[in-house]
Amino acid sequence: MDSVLAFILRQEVYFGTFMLIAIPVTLNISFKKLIELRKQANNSRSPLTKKKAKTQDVSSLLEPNIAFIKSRLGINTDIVFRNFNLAILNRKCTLVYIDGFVNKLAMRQFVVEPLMSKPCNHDQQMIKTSDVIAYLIDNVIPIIDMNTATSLDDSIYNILSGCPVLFVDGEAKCIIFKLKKEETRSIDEPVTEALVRGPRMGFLENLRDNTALLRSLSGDPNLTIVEQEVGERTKRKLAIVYISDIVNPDLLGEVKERIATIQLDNVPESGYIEQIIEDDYLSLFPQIQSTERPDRVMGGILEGRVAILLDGTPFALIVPVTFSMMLQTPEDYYERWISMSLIRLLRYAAIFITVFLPSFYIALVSFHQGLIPTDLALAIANSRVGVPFPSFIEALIMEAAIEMLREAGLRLPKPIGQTVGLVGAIIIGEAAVQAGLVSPIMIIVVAVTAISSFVTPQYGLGIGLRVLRILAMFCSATLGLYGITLFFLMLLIHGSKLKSFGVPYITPGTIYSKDDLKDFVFRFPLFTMNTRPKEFYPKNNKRKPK
Amino acid sequence: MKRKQFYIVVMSLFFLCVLSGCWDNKDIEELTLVLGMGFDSSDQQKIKLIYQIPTIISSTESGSGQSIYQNYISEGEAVHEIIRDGATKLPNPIYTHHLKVIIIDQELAENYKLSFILDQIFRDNVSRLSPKIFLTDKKAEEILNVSDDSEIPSVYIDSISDNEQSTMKLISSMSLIDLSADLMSSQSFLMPNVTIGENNSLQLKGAGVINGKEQKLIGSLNEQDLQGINWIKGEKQGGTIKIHHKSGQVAIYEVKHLSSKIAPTLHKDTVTFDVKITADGWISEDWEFPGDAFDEKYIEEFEDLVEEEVLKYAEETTDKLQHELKTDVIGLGNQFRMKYPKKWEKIKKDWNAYFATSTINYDVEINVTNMGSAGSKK
Repeated sequence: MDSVLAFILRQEVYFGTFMLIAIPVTLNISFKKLIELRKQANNSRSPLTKKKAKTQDVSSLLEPNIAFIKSRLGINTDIVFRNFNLAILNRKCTLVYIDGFVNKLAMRQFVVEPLMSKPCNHDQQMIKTSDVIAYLIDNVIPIIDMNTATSLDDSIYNILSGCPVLFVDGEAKCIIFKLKKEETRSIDEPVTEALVRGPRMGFLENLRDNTALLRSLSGDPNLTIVEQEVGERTKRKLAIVYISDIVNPDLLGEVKERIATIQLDNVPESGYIEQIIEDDYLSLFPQIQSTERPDRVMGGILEGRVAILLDGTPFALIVPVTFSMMLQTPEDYYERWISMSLIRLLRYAAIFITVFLPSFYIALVSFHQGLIPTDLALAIANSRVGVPFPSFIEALIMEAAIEMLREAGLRLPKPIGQTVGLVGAIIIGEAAVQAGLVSPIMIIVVAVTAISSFVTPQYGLGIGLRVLRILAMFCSATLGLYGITLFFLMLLIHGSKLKSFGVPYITPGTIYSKDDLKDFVFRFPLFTMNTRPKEFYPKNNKRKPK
Repeated sequence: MKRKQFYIVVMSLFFLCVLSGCWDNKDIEELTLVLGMGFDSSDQQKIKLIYQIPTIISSTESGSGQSIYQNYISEGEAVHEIIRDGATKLPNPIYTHHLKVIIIDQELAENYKLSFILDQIFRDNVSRLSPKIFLTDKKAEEILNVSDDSEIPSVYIDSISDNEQSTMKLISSMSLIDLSADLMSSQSFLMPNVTIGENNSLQLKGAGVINGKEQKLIGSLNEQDLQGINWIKGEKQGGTIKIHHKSGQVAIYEVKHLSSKIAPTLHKDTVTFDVKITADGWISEDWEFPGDAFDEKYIEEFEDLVEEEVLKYAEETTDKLQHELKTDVIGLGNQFRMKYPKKWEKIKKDWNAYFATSTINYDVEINVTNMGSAGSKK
């Protein structure tokens, strides 16, 4: 009994016991607190009551209408008010548009010319009896896409989005011509997702072009494109794309719900949407796939996923996504299966190297020298003689240098960017070793790591992995291989807790369906992949009709 | 205020975790890697210890004509005392994970028990049990000093011993773990001997016989004896044997597959061993003319010649072991133990005496399966 008491009273024993309890409890409490903070932030965002703006109807007189619009937009010099007379009725009318934003040629040819030309065979009787606006739409103006509005706010919104609006004296309606000047570029191959084999087309900035691209890839009547607006002030168009008889309704509902919570002034890029609707803002892994490729979006929605397109950006979002999908490219399916399986395996190896190679080097060199083969150990020791820094600091310096070079090469104009790469290679490869700042083996380690980090097909994932690499280096510098093991365990725990729109992030690494494993590390031949991935619970699971 | 405290607690816990690491963090160039160790008998004190340390030269200033290794020599009464003595001579702590070979002077092995000499290494929780152990009839210091600019002697010895499968004149090398096992079970065993041959080069030659009970060196075997041992044990899967035809011409038989079966029988108190040696192999060289290997009769004659030769080796070796050294290093005792476990318990203490008086019968069967790419000479 005495010995037990003496044991408990020893300082390291009770201190150790205390720490064993204190550390997990404190971590638990702190994380709960963080989650609460996050929840509060979410709650404050969601139920924002929309202020009903004062609406004013179009008056039947021309002057008050124009006066109202001028009072709202009058100080802008790019807004043009063009007054002219309707030839058929000799009434005054005003065309309001934004200069440079409308298709002037079409406006002249199809709006102003027909309205100003002398009536030749117009049935005066009919004009008198019917509504003037309806008559103009039906008989005079040869434009396909047009409609009418009775609210002045509507008309102002349309003017601002590039549609000329015609006010006619004596009518309590205005006509909106959809004659926006389409500023667009030709379809190019996406820069960020180049393929050797595959369609050479990427999304454009214009939403309408993008939806048209998707339509052109599929004649399926179930392909559904639902549009809505986001951005309180800027009002961007956003399209949710899915295939109605494949997509799981719960997933679709969740996507719509999350998009409804977006309360932003301005949504310049789909990255804004991604960051607001993603599951875990603290995670280093991207939980939503972004792509420039229409074929990729088409493949995604055919698996039962949902795509989100935003006007003004070529980057579409696909939800949900799993980690294994981040390592796939459309080419995996376009090329033959054996070679692409090998390349896929290579990608898995590459991301492992990206995250762990420098930390393994640090651990082996400064903790577990006995695990290195003798010849290599001597070579490393020889190369490290005279290097003034411990291996961890050395690795940090080199990693920072490589990342800076990468960033510099990215931001600079292309011709200069190449020079940066060259200078960097010479300075780091030669001078740093010559000066004895770093060891040649470290250069190899860092170079291999850098190359393998560019293998990841998803740019966002690549950035996340670089951060993980630094964390792994810290862990290995403090606790060696044991630290790396702990770090990997933490990563696994995080990965298995993380979900993207209800789908566990590391599926199909976890068991869900053996069919999904056909498209995991290896890509099985196409004829074996008869079902859609079960992980998304699609309504219609069969790829082949029979 | 509350939030600030909260963060302080979190930060201090984080640092507590981090600061408890790093305790054995030491970069590789700040260690003294030891590749070889030598134990010599010393005149003044008990032991002279030699460590072989590769020279660490900065890769940018290589080729300065420095030797690629250095030997540190120290004397003392106990091994660990000597090792710690190194702290006063060497800039960095000694690190034995990469230890390749341990070389023990025969004089030392005759005078002290092996389990005493190697006690420190067995107890040490850092040392590995993979280094190979050799005896030497010279001094360990000399062996580790054989200068060759391109190779460190310890590494050289280590790589020679890798050739054990291609010749009958080498016995399989003894690692620290094998040695430890044999010492624990008081089994007698052989330790390969390293020596300095012609042209001042290192050579594995012969072996020392360690008596399991005394744990000391009691004698040695030459290359001929080792061939006998290898044939009897039947563990090699390679190696050659030289024979002479009746005409006096020489021929070489190369073993491809060798096995031996030892069957003990106990009759009253006398032990008899029937050893059946079977070998498949090729004629790899033949100076006989015409020497037609397509002739079955010729092949049979050839096989008989090899059988005779093997028998000669085996019998000479057993004669030496039974009558001169009186020590069982072939592992016959093990076979006996498996067959007569109860009797073994009674006699295992004096097994060597039983071995010395036992009868050993050999039955050798040699097959020539292949005569190589050329059969006869014309």
